[in-house]
Amino acid sequence: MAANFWTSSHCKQLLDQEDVDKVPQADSDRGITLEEFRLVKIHMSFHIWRLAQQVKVRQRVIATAVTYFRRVYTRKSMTEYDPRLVAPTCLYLASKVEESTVQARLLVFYIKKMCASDEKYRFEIKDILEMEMKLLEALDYYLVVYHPYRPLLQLLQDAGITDLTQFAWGIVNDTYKMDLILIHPPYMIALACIYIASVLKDKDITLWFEELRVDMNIVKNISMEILDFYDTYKIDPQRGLPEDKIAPVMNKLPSKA
Amino acid sequence: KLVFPLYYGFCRLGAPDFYPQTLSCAEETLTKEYVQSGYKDTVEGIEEAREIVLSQIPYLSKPDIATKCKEALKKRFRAINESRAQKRKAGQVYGVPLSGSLLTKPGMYPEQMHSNEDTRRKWIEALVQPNRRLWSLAEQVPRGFRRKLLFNYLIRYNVPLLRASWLVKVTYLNQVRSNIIQ
Repeated sequence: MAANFWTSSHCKQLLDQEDVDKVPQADSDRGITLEEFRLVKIHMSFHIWRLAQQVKVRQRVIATAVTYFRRVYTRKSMTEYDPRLVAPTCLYLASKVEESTVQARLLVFYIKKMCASDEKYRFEIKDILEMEMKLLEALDYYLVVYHPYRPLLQLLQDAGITDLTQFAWGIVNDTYKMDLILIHPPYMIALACIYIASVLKDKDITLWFEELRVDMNIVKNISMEILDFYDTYKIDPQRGLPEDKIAPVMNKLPSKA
Repeated sequence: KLVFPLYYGFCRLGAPDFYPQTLSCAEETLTKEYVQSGYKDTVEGIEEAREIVLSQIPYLSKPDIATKCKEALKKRFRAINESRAQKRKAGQVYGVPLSGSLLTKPGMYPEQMHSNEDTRRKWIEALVQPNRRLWSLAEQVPRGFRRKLLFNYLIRYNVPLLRASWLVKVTYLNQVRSNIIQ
């Protein structure tokens, strides 16, 4: 698929970590700390992931949806844009952009099924369609997103370590619980994941990295961030964040349902 | 902040995150399937159903795994940097020793020659002439264009943009090369 990240809106909109880490004023006024802000984004990234499994879309759609979600909250508050509704709507929008369309009524059905006990997740098709319009505005209608998966496959092949494909792919998947995609070019994220995978699987590709002529300092720093994430958040692979951690935060956020 | 890719090490792969159009772009082929279901890239080495569930959270969230991995990463990082530094010292860059004929006449870009104010001025005047070929001018690129001076010359003599770009590249590539050899 022909594409050029370097002339894309995605490239032009790359942010610094401190810009991504600004808690919107309306949320700050409700007592939401930076750490809690991060927790909500992690929690809803899991929500998107679980919902996506129900409607059977591919990883690329999830990645795009999560990117939209995280980008929205660099511009809008969670107070004004209910993350419980934004998350499924991002998935809905991403499914169209990535040519894997999911019907809104199917999303509504599975949300009800998944969150039956929580009245704050009671949405109708109309809510998703209305939020879709708001999201398009919030995203300035720039919908094309570049992901590390494609450079990952190329780079693994070039390094001669395609046996690490699944392992490294899993790490890339995990980076969507973080904001890396808003901050770094996709190939740098891919390189960081390969770097981690090669160390854990004891593959010495030092010579390959030497010849790549990339700033290894940045690759190392991204790798450290990824590993810090695993160290910091005790996450259940299926359920995500512990309920006792996330529930108090979500309760601070008003619901549109 | 933006990390723009350098191309040398990516020559096998092409520039990172850049995918030129080919004559047979699959996504532009209208098959019944694509029209109805949308175009999807295939991924070698991973089943479609596995794409979503793959994760290292179960493994890397175990106590000490991430910590040990960080230490190992730093160790390799030092090894990569030390090896790069040694190669620079030894006059090797990316596996190719700079010696003999490679030093005498690098094939990638023109070498600069000793010059004075007069030869620089004459050479620039020639550069401005459209009928003077770059390949002949390349045989005697004068040294001595330093920072602001280079741009002053380009402006004063109204050097056309493409030729000005070429001279800037030659000048700075020669500076990079001399740094490597030191």
